[in-house]
Amino acid sequence: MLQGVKDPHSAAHYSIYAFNPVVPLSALDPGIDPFVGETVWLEAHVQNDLLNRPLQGSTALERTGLADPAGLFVRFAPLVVFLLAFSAVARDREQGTLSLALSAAATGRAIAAIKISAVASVATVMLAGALAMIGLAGIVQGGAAGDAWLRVALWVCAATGYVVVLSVVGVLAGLLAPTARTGFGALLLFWLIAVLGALPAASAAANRSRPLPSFQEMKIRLERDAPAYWTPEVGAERQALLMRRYGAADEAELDAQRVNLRGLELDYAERLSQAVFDREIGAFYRRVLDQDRLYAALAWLSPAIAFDAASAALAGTDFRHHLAFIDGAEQYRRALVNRMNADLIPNPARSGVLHTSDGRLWAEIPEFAFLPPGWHTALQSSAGPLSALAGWLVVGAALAAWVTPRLRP
Amino acid sequence: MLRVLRLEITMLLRERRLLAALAAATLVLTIAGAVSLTSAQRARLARAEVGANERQR
Repeated sequence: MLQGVKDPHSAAHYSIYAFNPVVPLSALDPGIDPFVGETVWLEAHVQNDLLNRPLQGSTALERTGLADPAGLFVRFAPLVVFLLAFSAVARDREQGTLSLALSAAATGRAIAAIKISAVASVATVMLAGALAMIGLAGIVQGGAAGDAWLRVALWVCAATGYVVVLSVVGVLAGLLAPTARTGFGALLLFWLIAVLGALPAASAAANRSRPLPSFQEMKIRLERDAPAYWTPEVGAERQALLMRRYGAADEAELDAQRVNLRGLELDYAERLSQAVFDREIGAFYRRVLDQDRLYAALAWLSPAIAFDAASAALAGTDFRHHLAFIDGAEQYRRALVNRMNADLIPNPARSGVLHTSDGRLWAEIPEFAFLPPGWHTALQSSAGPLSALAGWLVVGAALAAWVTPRLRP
Repeated sequence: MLRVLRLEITMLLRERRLLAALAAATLVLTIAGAVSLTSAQRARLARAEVGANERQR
């Protein structure tokens, strides 16, 4: 707005920074936010990379990844739940009350149901409850609208589902193992394989199955197919092509038609580069989304993967949400640059003096305002992993219903 | 059923060492959350500051 009187194309270069807003639930699950840029410089010719990764200015604690509540929860909540389950079952075993109860009227199914409910209730209140408070604090801090409340509610439901699945595993292992120690050993093994091992393994599998193209090679292709500055030979070819379109033999004839050759050339190059960006950068991002989808599909292998994939999507810090900002900023950049070029095209230079515009044109461009995707996007992203988590719940309940009646005093 | 569940929960929470472990886990999550909240707020302020400079420019 304050650029004064200048060439519209120069104004498109002295453009703006677009900022990706911090979502309220990023305190609950930062997702990919610390690793991706938060700002992008919007200008003519190029779709710039995002700048300023939060991790660049983070503290030692944040750099270790220990300031990620959801990450800690998904990895270490199983230990706490298993400790509770072990305690609940081992106590009855040591005191002999389990055998007493089983030999009396109580059924194995009822005993298991009570223990699973008790363990899940305590773990949910203590762990998921603490995290829900962090989510609510994030909402208060970020001054968020109703969407964030729904996201917190969904996140807490998913966390509760995760805790219940773990409680089923913990109690059943305790009840079915020949000794309490064997049961705890089995649970530790489950934690190592299904949580600590499964999360990086699923990520590696997604990367191996859907490898990302080399970012450097993509940059080289962008530079080759959509250069910001082109050679005089390419410029001459394009000018000839554009003049043919207008039936003009030279620039003077175009001027007579009140068409600015430079404006046409800039517009042509811009639209060409936009198609290249869609092809190259778009393919790169689609591949990242593919990886995320595959990672989410592997949620059927472990409840930890299911919750991990759903968590960032519900918090609004997964790649799909980040891509919405990239796309929003890029659409704004294109509209801005195309408008500047459109102003240039019908205004050829007069007596060698280039056309300039002023605040009236700048005022036509609205301020960049990015509205992060709503909860429906979060549900779309997390539907797969949430279904898998529900599947784990059903399998756990069915397994409990099947094996617990066989418990003997 | 609810009475038995309440009794089971009471028995669980009566074990001091278990309770201490639970409290420690909750504390760790709370500290992580506090750090995370601080960095989110820091990021908001930084963006607001740079945004204000940008508008002035």
